[in-house]
Amino acid sequence: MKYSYAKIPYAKAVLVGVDKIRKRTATGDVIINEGDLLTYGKGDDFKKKVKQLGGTVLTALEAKAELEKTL
Amino acid sequence: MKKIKRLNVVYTPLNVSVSLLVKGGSLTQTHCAETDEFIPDRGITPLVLTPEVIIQDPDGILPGGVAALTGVCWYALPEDIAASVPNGSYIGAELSQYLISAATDGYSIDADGSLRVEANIRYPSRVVLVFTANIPDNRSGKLIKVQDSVLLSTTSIAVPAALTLDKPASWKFNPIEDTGVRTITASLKLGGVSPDPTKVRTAFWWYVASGNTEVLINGDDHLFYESGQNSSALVIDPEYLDEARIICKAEYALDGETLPSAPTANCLTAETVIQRKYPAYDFENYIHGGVEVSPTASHVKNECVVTVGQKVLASPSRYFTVIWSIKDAVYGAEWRILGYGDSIMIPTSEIEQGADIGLELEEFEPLGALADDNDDILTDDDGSILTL
Repeated sequence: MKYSYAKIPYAKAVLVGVDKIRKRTATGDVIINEGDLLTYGKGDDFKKKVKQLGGTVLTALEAKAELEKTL
Repeated sequence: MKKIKRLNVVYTPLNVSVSLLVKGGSLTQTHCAETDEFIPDRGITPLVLTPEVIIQDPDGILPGGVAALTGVCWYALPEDIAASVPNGSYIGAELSQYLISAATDGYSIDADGSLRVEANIRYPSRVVLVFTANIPDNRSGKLIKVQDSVLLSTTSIAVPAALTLDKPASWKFNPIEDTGVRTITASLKLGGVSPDPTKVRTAFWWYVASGNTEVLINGDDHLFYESGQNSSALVIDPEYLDEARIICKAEYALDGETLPSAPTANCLTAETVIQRKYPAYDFENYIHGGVEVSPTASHVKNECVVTVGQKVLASPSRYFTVIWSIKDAVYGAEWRILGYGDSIMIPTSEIEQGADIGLELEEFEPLGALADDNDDILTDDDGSILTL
């Protein structure tokens, strides 16, 4: 079962309202999940919304790898 | 003599409302046993519980609104332990082992008293998170204890398992262009994803259809078998096959389950049909020097030319039995075999009175074991089967 995560810029995470509850990567981006964008924008397309926020869709494995990266 | 009376100011108890605001997720997760995936995975996107305590003073002395909290504590209790706490009573020191501290894995407390949950709750366990805190009643100088709790639980889902082969439902082996062994690779996926081999064990069996039965492929009975039985990749030599339906069966087992030693009735199945088939081709008898043979020539060379599409096939006898025959140009003459091979030198003496030269091609059949008149298979000194 594919559940998606995404990496979005911190400023966009503030816009969405998840900056205080989500983890940040070493580069300062914020890792979110599909549920975080349910009430953001129009429609259900998570990938489209992530793209609009200038982010990248990730799998669970990729999201974990992003959080483990160091500078 | 002194008479004493105690005077007290009696305040109306505050109306206190305690809520635990759920942010960034849900109290319920989903877990997929086959992929061992939590949805969402709180290790990636934590659940945050923020306590909110609202007070309202019926006496109107204290302003209403969100109360400042002191002594915030969080506990993570297994459900059965939580059930032992009498309704309406506060958590006490007897449950201090479940107090969440900086050393508690999967949980952390923010400065504002919010609990950040990074722990995933494994099905079917359930965890009760209890929040306790004090709010000062500035009217009396006393502390009022508040408490609330939520239940974390997980539902389990099964994902579809699928077995596929990297070959189509049927495919052809071209004896002219295709050479060498072929590998048929099976892929077992759970929920569309290849399972983690450290968490999911798999087993494969390969069969060949024989009439209405399926026979386990082995090297003793099946000359086309090269290797790979009981693995996900079967290697065969199609030179030994005419047409065969190859069937793969697979089973998988999660942690704690037993992997079957043979396919069960619920096994996953995939199959492919291999057909050995020559491509479309044409052939001609090319007579060197032309059909009008010079009387001084001692031989005339006839050559078999085979074309596959636009391409001339080199050495046709590698792929066909090339048969040359001759029939005298007289009434009642019969065809007789002249010889075999890519070309033939026919003595002019054979055609002095005129003759028809026949050229036939026979497609090779699949390789098979050489057998004697008693149908006993012939082997060499090493026991290897002789094939033809």
